[in-house]
Formats: sequence, structure tokens, C-alpha cells
Amino acid sequence: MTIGADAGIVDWGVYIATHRLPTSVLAGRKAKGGPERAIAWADEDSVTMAVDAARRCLKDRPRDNIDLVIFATTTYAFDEKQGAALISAVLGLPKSSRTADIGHSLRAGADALMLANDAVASGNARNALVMIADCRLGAPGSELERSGGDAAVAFLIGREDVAARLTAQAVHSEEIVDVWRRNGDRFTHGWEDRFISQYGFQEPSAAVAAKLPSAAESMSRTWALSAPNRRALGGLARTLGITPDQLITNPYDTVGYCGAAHAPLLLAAALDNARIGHEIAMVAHGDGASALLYTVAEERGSRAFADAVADRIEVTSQAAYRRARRLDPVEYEPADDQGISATIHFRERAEDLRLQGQRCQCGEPQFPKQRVCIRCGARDCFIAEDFADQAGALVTYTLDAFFPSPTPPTAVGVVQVENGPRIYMQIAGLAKGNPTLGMKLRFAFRRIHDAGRRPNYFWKALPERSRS
Amino acid sequence: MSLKDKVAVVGVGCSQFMENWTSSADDMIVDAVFEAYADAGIEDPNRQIDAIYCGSLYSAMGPVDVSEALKLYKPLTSVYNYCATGTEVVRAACMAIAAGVYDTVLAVGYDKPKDRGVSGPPVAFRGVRDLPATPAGWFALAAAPYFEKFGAGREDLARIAVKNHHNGTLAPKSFLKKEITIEDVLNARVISWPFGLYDCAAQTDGAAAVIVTRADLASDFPKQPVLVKAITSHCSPNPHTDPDHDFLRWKATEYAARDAYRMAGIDDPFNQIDVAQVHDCFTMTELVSYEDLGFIEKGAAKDHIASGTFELGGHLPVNTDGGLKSFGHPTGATGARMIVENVLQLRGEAGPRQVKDAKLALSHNIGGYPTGCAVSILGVE
Repeated sequence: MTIGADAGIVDWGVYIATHRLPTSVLAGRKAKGGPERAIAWADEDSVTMAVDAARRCLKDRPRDNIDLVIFATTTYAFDEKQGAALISAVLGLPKSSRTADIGHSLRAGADALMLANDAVASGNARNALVMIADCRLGAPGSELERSGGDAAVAFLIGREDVAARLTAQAVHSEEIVDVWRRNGDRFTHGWEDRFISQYGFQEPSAAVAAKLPSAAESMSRTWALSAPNRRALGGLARTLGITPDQLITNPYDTVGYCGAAHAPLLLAAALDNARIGHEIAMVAHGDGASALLYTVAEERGSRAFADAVADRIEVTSQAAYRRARRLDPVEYEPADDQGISATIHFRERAEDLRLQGQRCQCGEPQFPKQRVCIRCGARDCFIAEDFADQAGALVTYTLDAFFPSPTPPTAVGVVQVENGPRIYMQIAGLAKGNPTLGMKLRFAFRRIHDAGRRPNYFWKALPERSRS
Repeated sequence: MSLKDKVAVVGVGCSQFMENWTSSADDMIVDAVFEAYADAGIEDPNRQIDAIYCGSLYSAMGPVDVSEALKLYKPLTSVYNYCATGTEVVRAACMAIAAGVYDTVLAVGYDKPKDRGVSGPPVAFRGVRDLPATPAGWFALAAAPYFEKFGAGREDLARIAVKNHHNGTLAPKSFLKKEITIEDVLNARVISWPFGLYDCAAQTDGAAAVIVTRADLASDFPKQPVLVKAITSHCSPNPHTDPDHDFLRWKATEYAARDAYRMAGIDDPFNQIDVAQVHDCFTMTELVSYEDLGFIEKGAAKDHIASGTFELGGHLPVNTDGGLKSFGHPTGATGARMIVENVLQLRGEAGPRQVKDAKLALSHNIGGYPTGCAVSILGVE
């Protein structure tokens, strides 16, 4: 199906889990520069990664004209409770925006991009934010444990300032039991790999790709394919008659295969380097396959993908990975109880989700919100203020090994927000050795604990990135 | 407004501080209180005691523990201020006497944390972001800025632990009677940087009791009366959100000490006070408290630790019975235990750890994030 309207991708952001697990470390050996995968750390999940990708995507862009928010993932903590509404609250998007989660299939991301484009093209939404995130945690010892990858990508869809217009889309739906997770399953199950590859990936991908219009003489087409490994990629490329230089390089040895986020991640990488006169075709498989064809409208010269790949912390021991992903038995499982008071969470949701504090009429910034100003003593003279996008500096810290954590010791400190209050919080992403007083910090949305066996989210301070 | 010389301590008692696996809170309350009865010559508590003030952090039942354990059914008030609870119990008792409400009051601090099956304080999840909530983590926040500004380090903290372990060997009711070395401290497993295991107080069970009466009635009791020269309490802003805090001090101690010195008429604490029990929940807490209490200038602790100022036999001995570090820290009991030790010191009953000719003794608790501090100054003529 070809599309007449001028809707498409306005901007994009990429977050790849910064922890990288070398295959050698996973095998219990030392890291030695071989292949590795991105692994979401103990304080990360699809929601936190989606938030990070979305913050990068929306940097310096208005948020009040986003009328549709879609969160696409196959790895989300709740069967009942929406992710898109949570993330909308974190990002401070309008409460009147439509929100939806799309899941259950590896092509969830591609379908989310189609639906968002339809809504924008039809005029029902001015702009749409699509976030696609997945964590591919394989069972210990499985092929997926080595080859999976954890990443998120976010796209802003609109009709103005479009970088790549969606010109065609196609779907091929298929019933197949090739890979699956039942309710409550932690790890993905799969049938024999040759069956998965042929009927789960190759045939539906080829079928849907064939529905895209063929490239015009003047256009060169780049392909972003969701192949789970090199052999599958080569097979589909041969079937479609795609030459290697027409493929976006698959980051199998640096990031891994990122599930629903994989093809969209490649789409973002293609957009980074896109040239006028190019087309980008994205094909994502899963219960059939979906394909989208974009025509480049504006060259951005972005480094979204390359910077996300480069932002890297090497995992140096298998034990650290196993602890972070909670793969080993523990003396006591986390208590199955009500968890954090839902009413406290409800009252404090702006503080917890948006790092929202306040500023008194006397000028004193404060976090958390208080009724009485610590500086001037006035009551209720405050204006709410979000601090998540501010820079911070470390006032003091400790490394707490007593606090129960899968990744001890827990770095905690007091952070001075630039032109803001001080906040007592955890510090993540530290290199070896103690942090230094005064070091520059930024804020990241993280899953800080699992009380009540559900994710509890707050912000952590991270060292400022050396690259933008 | 002052409490000075209006109230006297006439009896003290203390249970053994240890991991009392075979004793209940009731058992220890009885041990401490009956020792205090005997010390005060009280034979008929139902007639001679007018009211009870008590405090505990871990007790599920609160006041009922004390009245039922003692079978002493009197007006009973439960007091709570984190680690300053023990001193606050005595302060409340003193104020009731000074107000003319009661003549003689029993103050009891106690705790029984060792029935929980875990070492150290509880780590609880409350609000989503109230983490991590460990006392070691809170009190450690003074270390990095202090070390950077004044050039102190873990060795200086270690000397405090070594001193308090030594003093603990001289106190019959202390938990840890074991000398340690600086290397022991530096090589212990890390709890919360810069604190290793030996930088942390020993959590124990225990109870301590103090009997106070009107100063003009004190001569009716057998022992030499010990006068309350000052007993004060002060809060400070939560250091985690205080926009002005420098993390070189804990403000609550500065405020409570200032009030105590004013009440007691002290202008040179380093030379006027003869012995002090200082809240050493962690070694760093004792270090900054030397300065926050005005004993020495801010930043001078390192030199005084090296020269032995605060050791037994030094200019101002601190934590003569081993402190929280070595005597043990049953949270609600600790402030009351410090007052027991100061009374023994002022009466000259402290045995091998006796500070010669002690006339004025200070005790100090700080707790919370920390946010609350209580200080007492006792004296004999």
C-alpha cells in the first residue's frame, strides 16, 4: 500500500543498554575484545530504556503537541497496567494524549510505527511518539543468552520538519508457534531453529518485502532487516536480491539481536546517515512480518546509534551479570506483598517520575515538595519545577555495601542540581574507584527496587557523558 | 529557663550489654531497674517512685513492657527520638520533676534488637525513593568532604575504634572485650565507605535505668547525689535536603551543645569537662562530635586523635566504657547507659577506667539522618 500524506519520522533517539557482556565473560573467562552483547543492568528494563531513548528523541523539541504515545515491547513488567501512560507521566506529555501499549509480537515496533503514521497522516494526531524497547534475556546456557541484546529506540512522528516520509507499508500476518513466552515465563521458548528461520522469519519477511513498490530508477534503497543472526540475514538478503552494501550493518557482535527493537534500531542507524534520494526499507518479522518504506526528506547527520553503541561499560565477571539479572537462587525471594504504598506513590508521582520539586517565591528550590520553605518559612508559596534535565554536581557520597542490592555496593550521595535543590539519591554508572566530589552528573530514570515484586522507578545520577 | 541544679541522679543500673539470646527485654529491664533501686536504696518502688519515663526503638509493645516487667503501675510516658531516645527519656523525666509534677521518677531505656535474626539495623522500604536507608550510609556522608578538606582518613577513624575497644575491656558490662589493631580496622570488610565493620557500633541487647529526684530531696538517698547541670535536645534540618550543609559537621550536635553549655554555665568545655560519652555509632560520628561539641576547633580532630587527647589518661577521656562501638548499642538504652557511666565516673566508682577527680561529665546522642541530638551535663560539687 502506498501512502499519499506527508507524514513520517521527525526525529529519533537511541538507547542501548550500556553494560556489555562479552561472550568470553559469559563463558566464565576473561574479557578479551571478542563479541559482546548489550545487557540491561539490575536497574534497567524496557520502560527505563524507552524513557532514555525518548528523552534523546525529544531533546529541545516541544512536548505539548504530542497527541499519541505508543510503547511497543514484548518485555514489560505488567499484564494489567499500561506502560505508555507511565512513560507519558515521566516525560511530562499532555494527559490528553492517547496512550497505547503494543506487545506480544516481535513486529510490535513496526506495527506501532504504522499505526502512529496513520494517526498523524489522517490528521487525528499532530505528532506521535513511538517507543520500542526490548530485553532479550535468554535462559542460562541458551543461544539467546549469548546473542540477545537490550535496547530501545524512540521516533517522533509528525507532518512538519520530517526527516523521512513513510511512502509505503505492508503487512503479512501468519499464525505460527515458532518463538513464544507464556504468561509468567521469564525466558523465550523456541522450536527448532531451522523451522523458526524458514517459516518464522524468511518466508513472511520475503512475502511482505515483495509487497513494497520496487525502487525507482533514481533511488537507492537501504534495508533494515530484523534477522536474528547473520545466517538468517544472508539468506533473506539473497532471496530479496539485496547486495551487502544495501544492508544496514547488523550490530550482532556489539549489541546483539534486540527483539522487537531490532529492526527499528537499524532504521534509526540508517536515518543517522541518510541522504536525500535514498529510501530506507524496514522489515520486522514476528507472527508474520511488517514492512515500512521511508523516503529520506532531510539529511540530519545524526550520531544517535553510533553514540549509543559507544556509551559502554564492560561487564567483567559472569557472577556480576548473574547477580544483576537475578539468575541465581537467593536465601529468600523478595516478599510477595503489597509493596510500596500505592497512595504514597500516587501523591508523590510527579516527584518520583519527573524529578519534580518546587521553587519558593523567595527563590529557594526544593526537593521533595514541602509545605513550608526551608529558607524563608513561607507556607505554600511554591511553583512546581522539573529537574530531570538539569545538570548536577556531587556534594558527598558513600558506597553502601550493607544496603541489599543485586549489585553492591550501592553508591549513594547528595547531588546539587544546577540552579536547583539538593537531592539524596543513588549514583549509577560509576567506573572503578571512588567518585570525586564535585563531579558533573546527569539524571537517568531507573528501576530502583522491586518491593512488592513490581518495578519501582526513580531517578539516579550518572556521570556526565563525555560525548553528546 | 534552665534545669541547672534542680534535679539529681540518685540511682543508676545497667544490664549486661550483649547478644542476650537467652534474655527477653523484660529480663533486662528488671536487671537494670532493680540494680538502680538498690543503688538508690529504694525498697518500696510503688511508694517511692512517682512516674516512669521509658524509650525503645524496637519494642513492639512499648510502655507495656516496662510496667508489666516491673509490676509498677504508675503514670508512664514513652519517648522516642531515634538514637537520642535514651537521653530524651532522662530529659523528659527531669523536666517533669523541675515542673513540680513529680518528686522521684524512674527513667528506663532499653532495646532488644537481637530477636530479629539479622545483624545490624533494619533496612525498610517505605516510599519509592527513600533509599537506601541505612544508618551507616547516612553517617558516612560526612566522610568524603571532611577527608578532602582536612586531610584525615581511615587511619584516623581506626584509632577511635582501637581506643574504644581498649576501653571496653575495662568495663564489666561491655559486649566486646577485645583489643584490636589499626590493621584490624583497615582490613575489615566494608560496610559503607569509609566504614568497615570495626568502624560501626556493635548492635546489642540491653537496658539502662536512671532514678532522678528533686535536688533538695537528694540527700535522703544513700549515694553521693549527682546534679543535672544541663540536659538539652535540638533538631537540625535533614542534611540530605539542607541547601546549606557542608558535611563537615552535624548541626544538631552544635545546636544542642550550645544550649547545654549555656544552661550549665560552661564557656570552655575542653578544659571544664572532665569526661565525656560521645555518640560513636560510627567512628566518623565520634570524630566530628569532638569538634561539633566544641571540645576542639573544626578540623583539629586528626591531631588530637594522634596525640591521645581523648584516650583514658588523656586531657579529655571520651567513651570511657567502650562507647557504642564496644560496650554495645541497644538503641533506646544507649543514652541512659552513658548517663550511668558518667554517674559512676563522678562518684569515683568506675574502677580501672576511672577518670581522676572527675567533677563534670558530658554525654551526647545523635540520631536520625542525623537530625536530632541530645546532650546531658552532670556534675558533683
